[in-house]
Amino acid sequence: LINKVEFGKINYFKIFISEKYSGIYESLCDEKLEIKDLFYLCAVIGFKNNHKEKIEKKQKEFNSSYYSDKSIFLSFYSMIFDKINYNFEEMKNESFFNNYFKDIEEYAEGGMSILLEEVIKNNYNKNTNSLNPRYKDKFLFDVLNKMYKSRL
Amino acid sequence: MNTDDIFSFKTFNQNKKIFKDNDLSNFKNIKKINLVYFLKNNKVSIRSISSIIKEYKNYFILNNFQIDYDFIKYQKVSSFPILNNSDKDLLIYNNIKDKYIFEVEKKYLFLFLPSKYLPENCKDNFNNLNKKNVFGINSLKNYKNLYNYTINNKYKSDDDFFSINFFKDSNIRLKIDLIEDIINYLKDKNINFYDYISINYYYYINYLKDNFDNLYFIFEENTNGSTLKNIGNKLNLSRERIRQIINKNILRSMKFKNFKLLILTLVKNSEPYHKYIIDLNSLKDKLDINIVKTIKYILNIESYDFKNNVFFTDKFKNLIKKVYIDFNLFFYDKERFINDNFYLKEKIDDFLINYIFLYYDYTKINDYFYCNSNFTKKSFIEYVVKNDFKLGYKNNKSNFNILKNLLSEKYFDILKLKKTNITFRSLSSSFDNSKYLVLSDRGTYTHIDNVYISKNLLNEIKEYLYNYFKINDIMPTYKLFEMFKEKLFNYSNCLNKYSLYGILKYYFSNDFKFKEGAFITSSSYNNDTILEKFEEICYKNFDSSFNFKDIRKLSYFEKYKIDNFIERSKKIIRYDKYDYINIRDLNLKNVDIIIKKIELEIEKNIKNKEYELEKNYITKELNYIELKLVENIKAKENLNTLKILKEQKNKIDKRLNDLKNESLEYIKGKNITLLLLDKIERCYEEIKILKKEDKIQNYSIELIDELLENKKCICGNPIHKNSESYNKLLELKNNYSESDYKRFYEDFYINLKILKESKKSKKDRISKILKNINESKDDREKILIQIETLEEKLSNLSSEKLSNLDNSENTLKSLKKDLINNEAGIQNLEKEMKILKIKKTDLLNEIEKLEKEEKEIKNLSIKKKYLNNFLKTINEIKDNYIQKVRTTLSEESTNMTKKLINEKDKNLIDSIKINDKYEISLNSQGHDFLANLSAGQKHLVSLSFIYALAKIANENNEENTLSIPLIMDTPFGRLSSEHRKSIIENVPQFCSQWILLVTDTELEDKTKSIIKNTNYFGKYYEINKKNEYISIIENKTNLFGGNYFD
Repeated sequence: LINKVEFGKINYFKIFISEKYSGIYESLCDEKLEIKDLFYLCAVIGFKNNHKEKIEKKQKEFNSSYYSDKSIFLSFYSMIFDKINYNFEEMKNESFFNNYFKDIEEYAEGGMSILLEEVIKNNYNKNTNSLNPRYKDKFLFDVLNKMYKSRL
Repeated sequence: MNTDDIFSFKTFNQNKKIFKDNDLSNFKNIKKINLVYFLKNNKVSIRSISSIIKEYKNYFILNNFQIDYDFIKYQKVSSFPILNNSDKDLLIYNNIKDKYIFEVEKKYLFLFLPSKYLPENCKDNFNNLNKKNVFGINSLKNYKNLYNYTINNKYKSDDDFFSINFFKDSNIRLKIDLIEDIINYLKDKNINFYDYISINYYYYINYLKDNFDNLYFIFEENTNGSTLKNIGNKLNLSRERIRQIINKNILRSMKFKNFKLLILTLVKNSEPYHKYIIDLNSLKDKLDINIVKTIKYILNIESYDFKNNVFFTDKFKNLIKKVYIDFNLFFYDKERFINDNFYLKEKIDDFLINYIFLYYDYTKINDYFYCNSNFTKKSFIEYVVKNDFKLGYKNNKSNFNILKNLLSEKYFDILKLKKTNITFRSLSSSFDNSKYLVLSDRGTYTHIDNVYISKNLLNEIKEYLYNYFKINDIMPTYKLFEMFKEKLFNYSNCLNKYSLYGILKYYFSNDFKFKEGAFITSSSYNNDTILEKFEEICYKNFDSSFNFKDIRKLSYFEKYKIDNFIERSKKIIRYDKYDYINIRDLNLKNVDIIIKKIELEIEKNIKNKEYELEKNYITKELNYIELKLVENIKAKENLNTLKILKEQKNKIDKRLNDLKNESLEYIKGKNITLLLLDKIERCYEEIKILKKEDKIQNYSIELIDELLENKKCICGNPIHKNSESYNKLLELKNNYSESDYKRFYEDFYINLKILKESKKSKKDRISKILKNINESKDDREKILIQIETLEEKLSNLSSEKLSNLDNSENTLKSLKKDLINNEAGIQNLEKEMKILKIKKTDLLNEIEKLEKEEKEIKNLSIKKKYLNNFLKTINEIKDNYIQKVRTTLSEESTNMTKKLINEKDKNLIDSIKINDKYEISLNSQGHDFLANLSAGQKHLVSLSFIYALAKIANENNEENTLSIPLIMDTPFGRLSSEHRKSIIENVPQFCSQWILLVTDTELEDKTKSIIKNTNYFGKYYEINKKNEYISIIENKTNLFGGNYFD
């Protein structure tokens, strides 16, 4: 089963982003910073801060096959294992990812909310769903700075 | 004519129909309208107006625009009058300017109109006018007839009116003739034509001269087929105007086309000169009767061979001869003229053209032929000299130079002239009325100004005269002439004593007094000198207190003296000062004009100040611009720094961009997983525990497969099929699925290892990036602040201004140049101004002089008046005196006759009268009685007349007798004895000596006794003729006194 779970060997699945944050995803993402990257970043932040938000309405979706890097999945595993107290037997369950990836999606939603509160702040107007265009460059530095100060 | 009248035309509606029908009442009241204004406002063509105006029969309209010669000034033509039956004597309009009209508008009317406007419509209207003083000039063809009509009073219907069209079938010469005719006509009526018409007339002539260019141009263009519009555009005239000009045939009337054609033939065919024939075959197509006529007219040729198209006549021959004679300064001799073909071809053509033009007062300029009446022979020579015209034959240069000198100098050596074969005749004719001194070959001294004589000869004559007059008083000119004859003849064949006289009069008038035929020194006296003195007396005294009795004393009964004096005084008067005044007045006016011009120029020069002001302005501007330039430099520096800063900013931006890209990577993928490193580690540890529990195999399936395939152990021993180890391996292989965690573990292990290894370096890198980002951000902000400040500064100077500053640098240079130029200009102007001021002062001086002269002239004119009066009175005195003498004569003679005549006949004679011719007539009871008298009585009357004459002649004599002897030849032949007695008794009483020549039959005894008794008897002689040759005179007084009478 584990072999099946192993990336590349199992069937790909869909990853969802809520309607709430799909706007900011669109405005922040471009060719360089793709949605999968931002999703991963948000998921990590949400996990680290143990902050989940339920997806009320799914809007954006992307395929898991976009993640080609093994280490990213390892980190996803580590997040999931941490949740299930390292009960590796769960992995033998076929619906392992279907069951537990919802948590990661929720972490990502939570991470995005953290980013909006602590990093992006006023540069994003929720009502109009628009980002300050000048902020886009600065965003990277702010995130990096935040990451550096908090953890690294 | 009020200006209101002009503007009242506004009331006319724009529609000409309305103008035609409704506003007639207004039209009546208007004497004059502004043509241009009218045309513009009513949008009506000239033609239509004329047609409208023509319909008004009640008004006599003089439409100036019909007159061609004003066509150039048409744009300026102010007005044309519409005349109603006004009260004024004169109604004239001659198209020109108002002032002329007003000048003319005094008494007489001259209408220069096309015929169609005059006769039918206007004749009736003329009756309403005061037509005595109206002159219309309408049709040239018949003008002479009309003229005759007027003179013979045949042209009764219009009385003093005759008309001549100036613009149909006429040329200038005819027009001039016409004008002269009119003048003569007016003279007969004691009207001075020029007082009224001269301005217009001369205007017209001058107009033709001035505008001939344009006229000819129009004509040429028209014949070449270009449109009226094109011609009009070239001359700034309307199409209509051009049409009018062409239709009037003004140009055709000039006959210039024809003339040109003629000249062309002359040029093209040089050979005919040789034969004295003009071949016009080349013009066969173009030649029509008109051209032939013109050629005839020009060349005075009468016969023309129509078949051969050739002119050949003696007259033309003569013309060529005349060319030769008059201008033998160009043509050395006749033979050469005729024979030398080269000469003919090369030289004569040009010359003849010019000469013929000259001869007929035409000249050639710019390939066009102009009419110029002022073009004299002198100006021809000038023209020749100016144009380097090659004169004469092969050695023409010397002639040419001499002519040049001739024009440049007042005198030239006559011997040189001889070398060049230029005769005096040609020169004298060339220099008639010129300022040059040329010998007059005609021998008259009327052209004293044209007499030439060399300086050396003059000095010689002068010396001789001085030497001569030391000895004698009078020097006859013929003596002088004989003396210098040879010398003079060296200079010219033409000199005679009269021309010498002219020379002498011209050159020696200051040194010698002269009378015709003789030279007189100032010391000599004769009868004339008395009169001269008398003149002096007159001149001194006549203006105030001249005693006319003195004149009478001086000239008592010397009529010739009085006449002489009158002639002399006339000579004085002949020097007409009035003309002089007029000329001077003109000069003064000219001077005024010049002064005004100069003042204007000085005013212009006052603009110097403006220049200076401009200069100041420019300097100020310069300063301002320089200041601005300084600012500009600062701004430029700022701009440079701004550039540098911007470059720096760009660099930083680049760096930031790089950092951004780098940092982007640190946000993505593996680098994020670093955040979950602890969790991954934990996972690894948990998996490790699973491994220890052998839940995870230590081998890989590939190894097992390899071992199975090779059938060798790891140690190297072979593994056989179906052996224990082989089976174990198969088991392992089959069970391998249970050991899935192994790969999972490896993955964790490897990734963890990598993460752990890269953690530090990445951490450092991120810190560096952040540092860099912060630094570069700070730098960027600083630079941005600097840029902002600079941009704020520069915002005052916008980019446009900056570019303007660049321009202003250029303008600065140009302005500096201008300044320099300006200063130079000012200097020049100052110089000019100085010169002009000097000129002005000179002119003012001249004015003073002229004013003085004018005063003198005025005085002289007053003197002239006095002198005229004086002359009148003197004439009156003379006449009175003569009359008086006549009356005394008649009285005396009547008295005497009454004494002498029979007492019976005394009553028959009332008085004897003497008429102007000193003819005697006898009055008796109001009838001429002389015819009825007997011979004896007539004799008595004549005797008594003689007596009276003698008595008056002897008036001053105290004895009241004749001091001269009275001689009578056979007085008694026809007398009766009574008459004889009375004569013998009376005559001796008023006679100091009486000589009687008597025949024997007359001397009867009776008469003898009477003579004896008178006691006046003196001596008695008898004349007896012995034969044919001898007659004896005997004194027989004794016989007579004594015995003889006894």
